[in-house]
This record gives sequence, C-alpha cells and structure tokens, in this order.
Amino acid sequence: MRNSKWIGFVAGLAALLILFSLLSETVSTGSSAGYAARRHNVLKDFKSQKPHTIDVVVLGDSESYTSVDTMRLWHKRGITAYVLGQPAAQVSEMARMAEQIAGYQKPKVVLVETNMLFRKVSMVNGAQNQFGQTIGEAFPIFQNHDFWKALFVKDCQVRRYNGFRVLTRAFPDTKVSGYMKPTRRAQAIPAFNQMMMARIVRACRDNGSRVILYSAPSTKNYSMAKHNALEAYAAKLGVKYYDLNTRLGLTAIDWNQDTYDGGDHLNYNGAEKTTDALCAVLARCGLADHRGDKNYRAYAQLYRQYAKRVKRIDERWNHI
Amino acid sequence: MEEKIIKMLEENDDSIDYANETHLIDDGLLDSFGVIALVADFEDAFDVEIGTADLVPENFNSVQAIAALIRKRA
Amino acid sequence: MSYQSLFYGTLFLPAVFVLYTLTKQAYRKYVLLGASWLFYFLAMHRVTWVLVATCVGVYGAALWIDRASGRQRTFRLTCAIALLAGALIRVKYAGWIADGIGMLAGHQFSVRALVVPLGISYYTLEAIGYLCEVYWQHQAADRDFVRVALFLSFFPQIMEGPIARYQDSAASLCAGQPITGQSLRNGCLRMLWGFFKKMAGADRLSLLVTVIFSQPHRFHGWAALLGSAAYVAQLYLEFSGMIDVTMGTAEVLQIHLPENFRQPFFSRSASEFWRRWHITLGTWLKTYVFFPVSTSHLVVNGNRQARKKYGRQTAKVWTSFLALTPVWLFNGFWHGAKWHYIFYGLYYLVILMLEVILEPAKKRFYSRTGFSPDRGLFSILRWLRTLAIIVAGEVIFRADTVTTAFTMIGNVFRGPSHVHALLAASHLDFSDGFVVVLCLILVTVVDVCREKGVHLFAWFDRQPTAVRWALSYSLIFALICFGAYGAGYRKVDMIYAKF
Repeated sequence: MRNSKWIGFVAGLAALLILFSLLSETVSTGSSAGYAARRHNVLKDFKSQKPHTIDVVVLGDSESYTSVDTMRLWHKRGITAYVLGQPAAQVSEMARMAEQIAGYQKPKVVLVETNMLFRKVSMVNGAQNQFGQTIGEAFPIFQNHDFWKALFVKDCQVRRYNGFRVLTRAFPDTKVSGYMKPTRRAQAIPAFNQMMMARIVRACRDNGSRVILYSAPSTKNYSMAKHNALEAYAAKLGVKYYDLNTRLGLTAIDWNQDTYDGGDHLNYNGAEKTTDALCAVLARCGLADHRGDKNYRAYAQLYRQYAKRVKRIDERWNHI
Repeated sequence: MEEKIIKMLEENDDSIDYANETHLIDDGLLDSFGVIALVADFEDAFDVEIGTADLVPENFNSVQAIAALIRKRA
Repeated sequence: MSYQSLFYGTLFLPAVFVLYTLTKQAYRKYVLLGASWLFYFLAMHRVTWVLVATCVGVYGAALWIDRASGRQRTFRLTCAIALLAGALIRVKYAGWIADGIGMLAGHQFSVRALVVPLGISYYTLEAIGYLCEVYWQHQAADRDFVRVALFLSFFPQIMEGPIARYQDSAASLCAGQPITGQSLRNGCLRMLWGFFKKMAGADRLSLLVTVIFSQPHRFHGWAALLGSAAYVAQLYLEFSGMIDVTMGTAEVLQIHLPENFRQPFFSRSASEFWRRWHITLGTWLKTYVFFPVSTSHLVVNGNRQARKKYGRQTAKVWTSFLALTPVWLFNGFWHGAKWHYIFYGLYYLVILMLEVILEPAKKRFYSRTGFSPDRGLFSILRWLRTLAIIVAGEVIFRADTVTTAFTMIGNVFRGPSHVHALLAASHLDFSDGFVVVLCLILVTVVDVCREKGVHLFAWFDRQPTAVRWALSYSLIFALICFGAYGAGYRKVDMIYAKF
C-alpha cells in the first residue's frame, strides 16, 4: 500500500471516531442501559443542578453513595448535598471530578470516603488510567462504548436521590470477630493514590471548599491498620478525618440488619445511622439551613418522592 | 535396503505409497508412536543404534531419508 | 503491563515500531532486545535481573556444553538443565513441595514465597530446548549473545508463548527485516482480531465462568453444561486471541514464530486435539521428553523383550505407557503446583492410553463393518465424543479441587437446571449474550475457512479497496464498541500468563 492510502485510511478512521462519538453521546444521554452511560449521567445530573446551591459534595467509591443519605441531610438540617461517588472508583477519577466541580458549584464541604485510597495501583497503571481518561474525553466513544446496549435493554433506571442509592435488602455479616482488631501496624496507601488525593485537596481548596475524610462502616473493607494509616495521612494533608468504624457506638451499626451484602456495603438502614453521625460532623461546619427557601424547592420535591419510597421500606422493616 | 524399509513401514500401515512419499512426518502420515515403533524395528533389523538426536522430521520424511540415516549410523 | 493495556497498544508498541524502522537493519535486534527488557522491567521491576541472568547463563552454558564431548557433554547439559529447572521449581513449586514433605514428616516447613518472574514457565522451556539442540548438535552454540537473549525474552512472546524452538525463531528475530505496508496491515489485522476475541468474547464469558466455578454446587443440568462449555470457549478465545496478538506483532516485524493453534475443535480424537491445541507445548514435550524417554536404553530394551514375549501390540502399549507418563505428568505439573493440574495430566494419559489399547479393536470394527471413521455418522460421533472429553478435561483444569470438578461434571446429569439464574447471577444481559454469540459465530467462520485451506489474507488482498477498508473499520469499531473494558467492566488478566 502506498503512503497516501494509509493517510486516507487513518483520516477515515478519525472521521468515523468523531461520528461514533457524536452518536454515542446522543444515544447515552437519557439512557441508562450501558454501564458507562449510568456513570456519566450522575455527572450530567450534577452539572444540571442550579448553580451554587449545593453545600456538600461527597466523593468516593461505592462506600460513599451507600453511606450518605442526601435526603435525610435535607430533611433533618436543610443541608444540600450531592454524592458524586461511583462504583469501583479510582482516586484519579474522583480527582478529575473534583476539578470539574468549580465550574458549577461552590460547596462548603467536600466529604471524601477513604476506601478508594487503598485501591491497588502502581505508578505505571495510574499513568495509564490517566491517559485512558484523556483519550476517553477526546473521543467519548471510548467512554460510552456500550451505548449500543440501549438497542437491547429497556432503561433499568436506578433510582438515585442526588447520588444516594436506596438499598433495601439486608444480608447479615456473621463473622465480625476480627473486625477492627487493635494493631499498631499501618497499611500503606499507594503513592499514586496519594498524589491524586493531593490533587483533590488542592482543587477543593482553590474552590473554597473544606475537605473532610471519612470512612464508612464496613467489615469487609476496613481494619485498624487502615485506620492508623488514614489518621497519619489526614494529619499530613492537614484535614479532619472521621472513622465511623472506630465510633460504632456513635452509629450503632448492627451487622445483622444494616448491611446489604454481608459487611461490604450498608443498606438503607445503615446509611440512616451513618448519615446521622455525619450530620453531627457537618453541624460544626456552619452550613445554612435551606428548608423553606424558595430557591431550593426542587429539594423539597425530591424529598417527597423519596419519603414515599422509604415509607414503604420502613413499614416493611417495622413489620419484621 | 529401501525395499526392506518399505516392507517394515507397510507392516505398520499399508494404506500409504511409501516409495513416492516425501513428507511422511510433515503431512502427519507417521505420528510419534509410529516413529518410535519403527526405530525399534530398524535397530533390530539393521543392527544400528538410533538416538534421540536422530529423531528429527528430516530423517523420517521419506524412505530415502530413512535409508540414509541407517547407513550413517551403521 | 500486559498486552491488552492501553499503554502497550497505543504507546509502547507504536514506539517500538517507529524506532525499529528508523534504525539500520543490523542494529534492529538491539532495539528489540532493549524493548523486551524494558517491557519486562515495566511489568516486573527489580525481578528483571532473573531474566537477564537466565539469558547470560544460557548463552554461556551452550558454549560450555559445545566445547565438551562424550560423557562430559552429557554432564554439562545435566548441570545446566538442573540449574534452570531448579530456579523454576524454587519459585513455582517450593511451597507445594514443602507442604507435601511437611505432611509426610508431620512437621510444618515454611518456604519464603518469592515473586514468580513473568513468563518463567515459557522461557525456561525455550532455554532447555535450546541447550538440548546444542547437545544433539542440531544447532551450534550461538556466539551472538543478543540472538540468544532475544530468543528468550522477545516481549510479545514472554507472557504466553508460543514456545519456539531455536531453529524456528532465532534467526528471523535478529534478521531486522523492514516493516512493509503489507506486513503492517496483516499484522495489525491479526492483532485486532485477537483483541476482539479476548475482549468482546472471552472477557464477557469470564463473568459467567467465575459465577459457576465459585459456586460449583449451585448449578445443575443445562446450566452446568453451559457453564463448563463457556469455560472452554473462554479459554480458547482468550488464549488463541492473545496468541494472535503475539503473532500479529511478530508479523509486523516479519518475524516467524510457530503457530500455537490449528482449529482444535475440529479434532476427532483426544490425541488429535493435542496436536491442534497449545501446539508448541505439545511439540516441546514430544521433542524433549517423549523422544528422549522412548529412545532411552531402558525403554528400547524393554520394548524389544516385550515384543518377543507378548507380541507387537502389547509391546506398543507398554512403551507408550512408559513414554507418555512423564509427558502428561509434566504437562499437568507445568501449569502449576496443584493436584487438579496433575490430575488433568493423568486424565489425558488415561484417555490416550485407551486410544492406544483400543486401536486394533477399532481397526477390526471399521474394516469388518465397512464404515469409515472419517465420514458420515461415525465421524460426527467421534467429534462429539472428543468435545465431551475436552469439556470434562477443562472442568478438571479450572475447578479448585479434583472433588469439585467431579461434583460439577456429575451436576450436568442431575437436574433441575436454572439457566436463567446462572445468567442473572453473572450480570449478563441479552445484549451481552448477543455479542458473545456473534463473536463465536465469527470465530467459527474463520476456523472453518482455515480448516478448508482458505487463505484469508490472500482473499482479503483480492478485494477492492472499499471492501478492505470497510472490513478493517468494522473490526476496529467492533472492538471499540463490544470490548468489555472501561467503566463497569473488570479487567481480566491473561489466563495463561500465570502458568
């Protein structure tokens, strides 16, 4: 093949990439069939919120959106919160999100769930993920590559309330004996994650937000060694750290009833308890009570939907 | 010698035209079991010793090659 | 770093190709060796010294062996192989052996677990092969260190093979042939095809396979059969796909490596399957285990006496048994220090021995009845029987223990089957099923073409440009859209890279 043919082939490829990118963007907007689309839509929903109305943003992996009930925060104290956490999120992914917040919101507090900090990642892998994300942003087809699923699957809408997911099932954790056993050891936080965490802190401070680290209760994910590491790390970063695993007295988590999957994630019940504990933390941050404010009518509306849903759950639980 | 070899080959499998076949191994007509059985036959018939180093396809692809090998080892 | 990583495909590999092209032909081998060791360093960090030391050691050992003759020569070969095998045994099997001895002695021994160097199972076999070839004087000990080192550490080959023989690949690795338009196109197409098989097909099936093998008691009947067949499909798509990536890379550089697969599922018998599946391992075992054992004095004399006493057939069975036992024990053990791998080897030993024992009876049957084993009903029956043997074998291969494997095979014949529950538990929806089926259909079409002797690249060349481009674009976008990567999918490590 001559060179001109190769150039033609590559040009055609680029054109098709752009075409497919546009197509995938159009299809995945509003659809939640593909995994990527679902992930994408949270960010889109966040960006479509009324500017400068959100006071608390939560970052993290699945531990984050199963532990902070935004609706309860609203109902109890009139705090407006949004969970940007994503399943199996990397710290680097959250760092990019943190940098995007500034264009849309000026939260007073950014809560960061710490589980993702221990995700195994080497410097090489980390750089690779970064590179992948850059490509994905240039050609969205790589992010929305499963957009074609919309052809097959009816929207399986996961009801989310500003990022919070209501999980109703309870699957007890029967083996909690080794959980948070005292040790002086500290588990290392991968260097790449530390680098990305520093980026989150920088981005938040530039945006005028205060960063607070917290660990959601989870027997599968936390240990004293992680607690020790996080204590030291938070001190190094100069931020506050609340480990709800060591303050179970405060949250009164019952591992028989409050976990969705045997100690990995909290269910709705558990989320209520941790949200109350976090509420006490946030109360000290001087957040305004927006209940009754006309600008925040959307929250009251969303809360009514939520209340209807959880009422059924509460009834069922009380019944048992 | 070639005729004797062909006779021994035919004892193993008589559906092949050994005299004109030059890819016995490459075409899979002779498998490794066959080769091993033949080596024992040849060693007895011609009183030679055939070692592992001789078990390469080139030495067993045709009757001529086998004969050449046996002459070399005699 | 592995072959399916973004960094490898979009930066590392293109950079190697560009650098290779810009370098003078005589120096290209240095580029490849440098790239190979860099690749290894990115994957293994400090452990790279093991590979480099092996290269130096094998280079020296070959020269050392070649200088001696007679008994001394044998002694030197034995020393070198013992050293290579010792290193492999230390990192891969020491823990298992210590446990075994501990159990017999009633005392716990502990061995420090070491990092297993990437590809050690592959390059050790290549190194032993090279030393044997030198010992047999098929090959003079190479005075060019770069050629020996590149033969052992060529980066597209290091993770999953194919296990090449020195005569087959060393010369072309160092030839520094230029990258041409033709080689680039064919190579890239083959790589894309391999990635498609792995990422669109195998990585989806892996979800289902993980579910069924982690809950072996839960699924019965059709669900159990589907899960087992899915594993066989996953293994084939994944292993042959990644080998296609390797072969494609080599093709771009005009390097010739031996093929590892020849449409294994068209086999009519277990022995034929092993001549078509993981061919380079089979060839290695045949050349360096089977032949040496079966031409050893012990076996040859035993054969001679058995033949006089009991006749040809019995002697053949006896010789086969003596020569095949080490082959299959080695095959099983090579995959790892687990009992079910060893059992997997023994399973095939039994089946192959049955083939040898029953051969005269079968011959008589076919000649008396006039049926042909290669046509019609019997051909199909033999094909189905072979598929059953393969599936059962791979269940033993994948299950955690031998008992689990038997439970799973037994479950196929115990109802009730909940195929829906299996699909739901593996989070595969209808659309994923569609992609897997599409992938399997394409693979079948390609394999049938190859089996019929159709040269796909030649056919591709005859098409007008528009068709060629359309096909290439389709393959690229099929990979981008259907690949199981990114958000929501877990990266699946290469199965054969851990052996």
